[in-house]
Amino acid sequence: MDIFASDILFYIFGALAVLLSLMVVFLRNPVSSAMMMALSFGAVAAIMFGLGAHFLGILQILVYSGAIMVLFAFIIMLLNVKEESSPLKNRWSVALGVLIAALFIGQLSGIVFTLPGAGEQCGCPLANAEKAWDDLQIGQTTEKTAEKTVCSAFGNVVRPAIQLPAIDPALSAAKFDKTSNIRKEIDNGEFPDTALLGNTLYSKYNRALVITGLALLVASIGVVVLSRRPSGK
Amino acid sequence: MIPLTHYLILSGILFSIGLLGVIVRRDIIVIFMCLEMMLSAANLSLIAFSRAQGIAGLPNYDGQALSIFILAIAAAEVAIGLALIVSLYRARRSVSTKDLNVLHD
Repeated sequence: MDIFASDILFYIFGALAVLLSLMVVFLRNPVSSAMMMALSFGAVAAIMFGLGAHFLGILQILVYSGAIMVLFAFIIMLLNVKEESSPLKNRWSVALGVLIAALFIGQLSGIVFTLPGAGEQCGCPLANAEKAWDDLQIGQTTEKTAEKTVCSAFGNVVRPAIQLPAIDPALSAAKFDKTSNIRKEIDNGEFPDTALLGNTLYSKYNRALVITGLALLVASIGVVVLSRRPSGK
Repeated sequence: MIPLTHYLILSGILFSIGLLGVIVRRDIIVIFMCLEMMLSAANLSLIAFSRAQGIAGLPNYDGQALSIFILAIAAAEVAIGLALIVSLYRARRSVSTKDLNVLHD
């Protein structure tokens, strides 16, 4: 597994996101929790930029660290939440919480490590070549099978790693109409992420998008109803 | 290149830190923030999957569309939840889960 210099950014921002999230949980003051939360969302947005999801990264910064965190800070100041002397629950609850989270991480890593490519560091090309040689069936008999290379932790099954494919919009330029803006931008050598996402949203998921808009409308009406003063006072 | 597993593990770690916060904190506002953290972690893994499933040089935009829906629903949820917290504070003069023990007595 090769690690390029630019991939270091992923690990920096990942460590930053984990650290800031831990600070959200363990800081006493809710205001500093909210600020750490905004920074943590910023780090996650940076990872999204690295994944090539430019529009969603910007949306993450605008919606999460902009709107939602400002709303949180506003509510904290409105309610005058004081710094708690013991922000955590009692010792048993904390132990239980850590245990549940650790179990969850363990289970998740167990699943993730059985994904293809998790055991790829141990010289799989050799096993690949060996398998290809076996498939050819030239001159070898059964004595070969005893000493097959145990390559990955999963027996002789050689699974290629799931690498993220490189983004190269020029490869699929032919899918779009010659007069469309997407095609023009691709031909200019750009990566029209927003336009492509909009293309998907407004064609394939049009109905779901309208329903999401309805959900937002219902939510805003609900907020107005909830925060109305009781009519008696 | 970073393999997909690293993104998934990072997203899982962020999710379980959010879960930890929901379990151990007393302050209901911080609990709510940790819920948002869990949603954002789910978004991250969706985007990583959308990139990994990419064909012909483009990411698979289905995952990103789903992520946008999650974002919209999260915004609606925050608005309603904070309104609920405000009316809770009006009723009980506190936002600590310690004081929400009506069903306990």
